[in-house]
Amino acid sequence: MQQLIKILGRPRGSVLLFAVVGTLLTGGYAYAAATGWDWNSHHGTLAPEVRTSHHGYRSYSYWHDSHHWHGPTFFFWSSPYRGYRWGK
Amino acid sequence: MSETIQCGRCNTQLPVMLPPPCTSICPQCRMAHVIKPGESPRMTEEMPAVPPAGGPLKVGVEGEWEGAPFRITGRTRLSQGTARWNEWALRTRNGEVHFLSDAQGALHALKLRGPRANAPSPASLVVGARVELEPGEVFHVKERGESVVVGAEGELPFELQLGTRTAFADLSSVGGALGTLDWREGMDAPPDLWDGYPVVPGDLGLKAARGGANTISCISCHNTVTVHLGEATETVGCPKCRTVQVRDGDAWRGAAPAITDALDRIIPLGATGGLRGEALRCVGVTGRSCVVDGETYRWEEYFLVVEDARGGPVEARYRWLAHQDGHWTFLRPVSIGDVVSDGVGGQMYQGDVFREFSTVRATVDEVLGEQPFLVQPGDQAIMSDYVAPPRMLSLEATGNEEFWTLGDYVSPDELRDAFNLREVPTPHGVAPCQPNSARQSAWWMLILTLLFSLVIMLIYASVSRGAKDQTLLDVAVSPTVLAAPGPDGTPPADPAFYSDPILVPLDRKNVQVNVQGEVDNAWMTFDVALIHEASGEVRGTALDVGYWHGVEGGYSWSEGSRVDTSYLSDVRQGTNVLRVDVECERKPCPPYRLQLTSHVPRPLYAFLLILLLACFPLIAFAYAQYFETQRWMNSTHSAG
Repeated sequence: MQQLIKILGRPRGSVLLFAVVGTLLTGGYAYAAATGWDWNSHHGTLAPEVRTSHHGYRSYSYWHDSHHWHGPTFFFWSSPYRGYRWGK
Repeated sequence: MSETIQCGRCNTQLPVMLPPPCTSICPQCRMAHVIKPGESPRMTEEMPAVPPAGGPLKVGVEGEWEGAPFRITGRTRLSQGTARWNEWALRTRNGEVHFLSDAQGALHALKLRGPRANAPSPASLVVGARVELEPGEVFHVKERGESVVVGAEGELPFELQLGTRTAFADLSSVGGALGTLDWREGMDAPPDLWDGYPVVPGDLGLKAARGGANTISCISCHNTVTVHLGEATETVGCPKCRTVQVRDGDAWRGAAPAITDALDRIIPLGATGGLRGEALRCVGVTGRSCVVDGETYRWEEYFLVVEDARGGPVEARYRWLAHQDGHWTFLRPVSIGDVVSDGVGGQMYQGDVFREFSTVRATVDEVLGEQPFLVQPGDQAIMSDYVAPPRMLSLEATGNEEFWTLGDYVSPDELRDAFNLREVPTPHGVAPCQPNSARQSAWWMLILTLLFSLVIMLIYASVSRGAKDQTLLDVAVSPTVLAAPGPDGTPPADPAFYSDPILVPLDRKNVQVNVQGEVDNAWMTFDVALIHEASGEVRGTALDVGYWHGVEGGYSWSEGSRVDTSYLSDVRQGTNVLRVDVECERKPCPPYRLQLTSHVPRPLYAFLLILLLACFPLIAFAYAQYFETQRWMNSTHSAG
């Protein structure tokens, strides 16, 4: 460390600020990795009446009638390949 | 061995300590007597009175030279133009005769080395050039000139004659050793080389302090001006009326009038302070300017003396603080012999390479306070700066002399604290030797980024290794076709793949989904949902694979991938069922393999975080480059 200070000079305020920011970000990453946090994937909740319907949530109509669950992300996620062919 | 002779004019008894030939001057009537071997003393001429030296050096004073006691026997007063200096002769107890040069407030001990037959003629010497007097005896020419004997006192070890001219060249070698070559007028013999080194009175066992402050009267407004350097002062600028006067022999005369009247005097004359471990007193300031591309640039040079180094060599005594646009550089003299060209326009000093920054013709505009050099408004010199921030080498060259200084950048805050100033100007622009703190910060940030990246990768590797034991599902699936509705009109069952109940052991962790579809020149998509049976919470994501290949023009090609990965976040602990709905380009859809793993860190997050951290040093390096561009914009060379 003394050698580094001799070569580069004493770290300035901006370096110390970066050290703090970097420590916080790295710490946040460590916490996220340890707890299994992930960015929100699509999520929602099955409507209560689904469970009493024929086939329950395994019915064809439930997944294909577009009213299949409640939640903040209500749309059916889709791949860019659906209905679209690219490549050769 | 001391003898006496009688003054031929006033009969005073004169002791003779030196071996002949020598000259003895009567202290009463100042008549000179030349003593030669085998001849009677001959009275020659009356010497003018010489002013007192004002320090510990006097005829008759005793001291110690390299362990041998000595006595000062006499003094020769020499002149070059209006400048005056003394050379003191001394004789040690073991009979050796040496000299002390006392010029510009600096003392140098000089020892005769003998004649140098290979020395070039005085006219062919080039200031700054390298000369080799004998094999391995290398010097650089620091100054050349011609001295005239204008007075003397005491006893001197040669035949003295008023008005005798001596061409001389002051030399400097690596390490700061000094030399002087003397060509005596009318003598065809090779010049004598005097080997010298700087000394302070304390080195010679002389205790009295040299030249304390005294005063002179301004020749214009009769204001009393304090002179701290005593006899070493060559130029005085009146702080009141700004008249510049220079020493003319042992009197003062007016010099050229000031060109400008703009000196700010940020550091007051007479102010004391401490900077870089030295106790300093500001005794003068010079306003200078140069013109580059039609634009005039001005700066000030504050002249400082080191308070506790009175009587020492120039290197120990004199300092300067150059100020321009709020930037300050602390300068100290260095030996010309220690500065070596690097061969590509720069200079080397103490192992550091200094890049050529500027070369200008500088003009003296104003002089205030005192200077130990003859300097007056209108004087010009070629000034070259070489930079290795935060240091700078400066060369000031006149026709007959080269003078090198080494500068260190001083921040305004440091200067304010050093001289206890109320305020100092705010810096503008970038100074030639201003340290590039952004570059230093950028390197620090880069080092920290590497450390942070290492920690992030270790965390990622550590958590990833633990995830190997958290595989929830690993199945091969063959897609089914859509079932028909029931005969009673009941809707058909969903043809998607449903897994057996999966027990997720960890709550609120992510789950990695891997698919591998056996596609061939086709695509295939997967809508994946993980249903928590107890709560009905659903987590979903989409994956797709596509792989194409072929041969065109004799070259085989392929693109796409049969594998894809995605993540489900915040998955609930307990029994979950996985639903996978596939679509594909060509029916029937090919089989695929599906894997679910709990608590898997995403490499993307580690990568993005490292990328984010790397932005800081990248921005700092970019700013550092901008800083350098600004610095070299002020250069007279396009070295930036």
